Formats: sequence, C-alpha cells, structure tokens
Amino acid sequence: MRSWDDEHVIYHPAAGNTHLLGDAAAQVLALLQAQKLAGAASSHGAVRTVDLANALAGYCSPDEQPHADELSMTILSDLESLGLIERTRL
Amino acid sequence: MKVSDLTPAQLRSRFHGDGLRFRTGDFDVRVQTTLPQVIDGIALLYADYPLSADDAVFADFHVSLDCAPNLHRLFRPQVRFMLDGRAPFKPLPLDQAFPMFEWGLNWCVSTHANSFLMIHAAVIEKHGRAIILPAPPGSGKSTLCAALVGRGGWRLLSDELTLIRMSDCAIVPLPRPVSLKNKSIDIIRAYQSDAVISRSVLDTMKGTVAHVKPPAASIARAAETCAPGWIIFPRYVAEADAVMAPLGRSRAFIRIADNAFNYSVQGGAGFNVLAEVVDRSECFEFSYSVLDEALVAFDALHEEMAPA
Repeated sequence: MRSWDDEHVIYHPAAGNTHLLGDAAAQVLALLQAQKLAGAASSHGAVRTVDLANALAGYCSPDEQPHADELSMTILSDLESLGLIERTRL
Repeated sequence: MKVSDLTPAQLRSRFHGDGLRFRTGDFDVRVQTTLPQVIDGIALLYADYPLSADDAVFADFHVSLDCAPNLHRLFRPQVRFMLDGRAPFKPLPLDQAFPMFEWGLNWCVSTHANSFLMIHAAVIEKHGRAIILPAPPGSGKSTLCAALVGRGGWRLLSDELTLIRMSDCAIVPLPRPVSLKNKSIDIIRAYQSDAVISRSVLDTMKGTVAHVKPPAASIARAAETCAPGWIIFPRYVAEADAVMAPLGRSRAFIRIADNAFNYSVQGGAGFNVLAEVVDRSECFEFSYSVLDEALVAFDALHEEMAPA
C-alpha cells in the first residue's frame, strides 16, 4: 500500500488489481494487520468486529464516533467485496 | 549516418532488398517494402533517425509491408503489415500504408517491450524533468504535444508510449512522428507553419490522419533518459481558459494505471515502479482551449521547480 495525503492505493497480488482507498478503509486494513501481527487475533487468525469498531472509534471525529460500529461494518463489507479481507466465523 | 544521408535510390534499394535498418529510441527496426507510400513517409518523417550500424545483425523488430495477396488487389488493393513474417492485423486500404506502418510499429513496442512499464501517454522533457501526458483519444493530447515540442521547445520523448525503465524508473525516449487526427491537422499546420507534416490520409478507422516530423534535436538526444517530474492529464475544452488544477497522487495513480499497456503483466513490480514515478511527480488536470496559453502554463511548471 502507498499513501499520499488522505488517500491510499493498494495492490492485491492474488487478483492483480489496484484499489483506491479512503483514510478510514486504510485504517481498518492497518488495524487488522497490526492486531494480527501483534498476536491479538484469535487462534483462527481473525479479529472480532466489535474490537475493530472500538479501535476505529478512536480515529473518528466526535460526531462520527456513535456510528463507528456501522462504519466499520460497511468498510469491512467493501473490503471483503474487493477480496482484500476474508470474514471468519468463530 | 542518418536516413537522410541516403540518396533516394539508395533508400529504395535498401527497402526493396535486405531492408532499411534504423534506430528509434531503444530499438533497432528493419523495414522491407516496395510500397511508395511507406518509403516516401519514412524518407520525409524519419530523415533524422540514425541508421543501425552496418554490421548490425540483430534487429528488435523485422517489419515488412506489401500488397495483401487477396482478391482485393485486383480492384481495391490493400496493404498488409507483417512482423517476423506473420500478419497480426487484417489488411487496410493501400492508401493507409504509412499510417499502418506507424500503428504497427507502436503495436510492436507495446506488445513486446516488457522490460518497461508502458503507459499510453505522450511524454516531453525540459531541463531534465519529464511531463507525462496520459489521456484518452479525443482529449487533445497529440495536438498539445505537437505544439509543445514545436513552438514550445520541449523535447519529444514520445507521442504515444511512455516507457518507464523497471530498474530505476527512468523515462526512456521513443521519439516518433506525432500522430494527428481530423481538425488537429489543420490546427497544427496553422499554428506552426514550418512543421513538416505528412500527407493527410482520409477515411481511416481514426478518421483523417497525418503525422508530424519529430524535432531533429529530439532524435539526436534519443539515448538520453530523464527523471519524471509531472503527470498531467490534459483535456481540450472549447472556449476554456488554461487551468492547471492539482490532482491527488492516489487518484493520479489509478488513472495512469488505467492507461498502462502492461501494468497487469508487471504485477507487484509494476505497482512499485508506478508508485515511485507518482511519488516523484507533481500531478495535475489541465484544461485548455488556446495552445499559446497552454505553452505558457507548461513553462510555468519548471520555472516553479528547481531543475533536476
């Protein structure tokens, strides 16, 4: 992933596609990666959506914070449709 | 020795025989033909190109053009373009022989030169920094490019194919005749009266087409690479003032990747090279209607930035 200002491009090697991401989506990806690398993920390598929403809330403006859960779910759905992440049932 | 150093008889003899071998940018090309449309077009527009060394045994592209051996030849002759003895395209009307040579040679490079990241974009240079001009057909890219390398004094690196070397992101020149279509032909004839422009060919798949001879200085410096400096998406807008509007690098990245011939072939390496080029470039959208205003706007760019 490469970042300029508040926008980001990411290359998906398995599909050969490149995507333009906003700040929030890039933040979600970075959080997923960081939690996984830090060993905070479950034994299945997954991250709970509630934990993600809580973490994302810290990056939201005050008026966005009540909607962090909804925002994270939308972003997760978008990232999943692009094939950049995979949803896992615990 | 240059193409223009050959007499017309010597030129014909080479085309008819083992082929005329000349160098264009990083590539040696061998062309065999007996068609006067192709011979005259190359004599006019490639006069300043260096001939390949006399002892050169290798050519990157072995090209020939001849009358297609089909029934059309009896009442409406057609031209056939061949690379390495194979015809990759359907024949075209004979009158389109020279444009077909140009299109065919572009195709040769764009489908084979995978040691480069290849962008469908014009690219010009001044003071060591290149401006990459990606744009879809009809955006006025070639008209603008012809004006910039003509009256504007920019060096032509390419009108169609921006070649970015994978190893160091240097832009490698491929100066070739600038392709003009339809109204652009008369616009450039009027704008630059001393421009050498080939005969207009009517009713091609792109409409009426003609080609502008590249500046001799650009051919002489065809071995000089340069660094990327700007990525500018030009667009002709009738009656518009010249406006250079900043464009976010991420959005520029996506748009230039869409204009790349072999981005997907290069995979992750292509992503990294393009990211480096974008990182080193200022990115803009440029709308214009008056060529003089465009030339002023482009000169202002490198005046604002210290030379490389």
